Amino acid sequence: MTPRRVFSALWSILPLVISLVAVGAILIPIFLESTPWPVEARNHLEDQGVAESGAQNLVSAVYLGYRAFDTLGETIVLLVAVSGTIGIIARAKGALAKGFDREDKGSPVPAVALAAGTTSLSAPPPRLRRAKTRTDLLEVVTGKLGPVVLVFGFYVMLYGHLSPGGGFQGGVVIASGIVFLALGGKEGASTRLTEAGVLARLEAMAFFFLVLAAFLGMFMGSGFFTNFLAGVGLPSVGFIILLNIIIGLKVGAGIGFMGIAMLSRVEGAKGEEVNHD
Amino acid sequence: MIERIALFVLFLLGFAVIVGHKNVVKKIFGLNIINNAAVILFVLEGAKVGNQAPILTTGAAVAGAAAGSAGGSGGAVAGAVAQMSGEVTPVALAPAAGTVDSACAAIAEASGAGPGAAAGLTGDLAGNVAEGANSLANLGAFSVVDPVPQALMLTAIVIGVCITALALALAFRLYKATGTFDIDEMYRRIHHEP
Repeated sequence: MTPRRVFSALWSILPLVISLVAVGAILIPIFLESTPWPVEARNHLEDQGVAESGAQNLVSAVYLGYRAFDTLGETIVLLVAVSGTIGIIARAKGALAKGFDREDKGSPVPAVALAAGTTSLSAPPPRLRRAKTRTDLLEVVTGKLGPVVLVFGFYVMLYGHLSPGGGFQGGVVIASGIVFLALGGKEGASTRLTEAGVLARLEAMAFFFLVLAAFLGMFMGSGFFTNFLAGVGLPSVGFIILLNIIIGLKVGAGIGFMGIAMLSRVEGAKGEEVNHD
Repeated sequence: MIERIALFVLFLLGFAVIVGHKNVVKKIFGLNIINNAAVILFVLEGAKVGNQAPILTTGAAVAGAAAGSAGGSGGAVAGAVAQMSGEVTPVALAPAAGTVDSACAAIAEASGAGPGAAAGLTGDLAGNVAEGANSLANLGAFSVVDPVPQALMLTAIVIGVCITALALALAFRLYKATGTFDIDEMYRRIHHEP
């Protein structure tokens, strides 16, 4: 290699090296710090965690008892992210208004042809396209494993007050179970759990019930988001289980909805299937 | 120490992916790598102060730790006493001796002494074992790890998944609008189209 080529190669990776060195110099004190971890929170939680929040799983006690408001904010973030993803993907039909209608590699379907309803590419009809992506391997692995993963997700969600698990973890496993069912199920034999309408309504209802459970503490006289079941006479772990179920359904339905949208099974604004590739 | 250096390298790797690659999807996964490095650092640091999972199965870890240490030290003392008195029968103390009393009863049984000696042994042993258990609990030998970083990182992971999905949806929209995933090519197509 000539010196000129060597020099230009080094010059092209110089911004990368400079930025890496700068970030490394800023982060070195964080990653190599040696101050001891403060144990006051851990000691207090070990002594009083079960009595104050009702959960034997101390992690659940933290995010469902002491910092439940933080969990409410996180579900709002999830709602916003799901709405944004659905809004961007399912309504991509109007994105070709700028007219990028070239036929070179990686080009989208021409905008003019799409607007006119006919395509100039040799795209197969939608039913054949769907069947072509459903290979034997996918059908066996995801279609048959889907119910198993769904059951495991429900177990993790429901048992979260006694073993590692809870609403968030169980919800993410439920979402992957829903995506498995959507990927591997037959054309007309899928459950209603993979329909976009069902998942959207499920997420909205779960969020409503979460806010209702938060306000029930106020109506019972203890304050916002407090464990009111101890005053009523029921075991206080029931509140943790209730919140776990609500959060698990919300997270599962939300992330499952995003997965279904990325599989292009969500209908657009006009009620027809969009983005067939 | 070696874990922190590995996490530092992971973080820099994710950052290098963001800065170095031209593909939008690869940049998004560089962000994901950075998120994972930060999450693992938090959980790792929180796990340095204890050695058990933060799930209290008997309602209070201190009571459970005291019972556990009493049973354990009772078993050790019983083994020593049995050896000293010449007995060779094994004393099966481990699962049954959850309290100081049952440990002392098993010791008295194994050494063949009378109930009076067992009572004296119980009083002595109870004081010593309780004191030892208290000091052990204060030292944190049977304590759980810090659950606060784990609870924080739970939400961080779920939010990371959602933001990755949103970013991928944006990348898909960019592809639909410009026909490529390469940012330089995207820039050219946006700015040089009539």
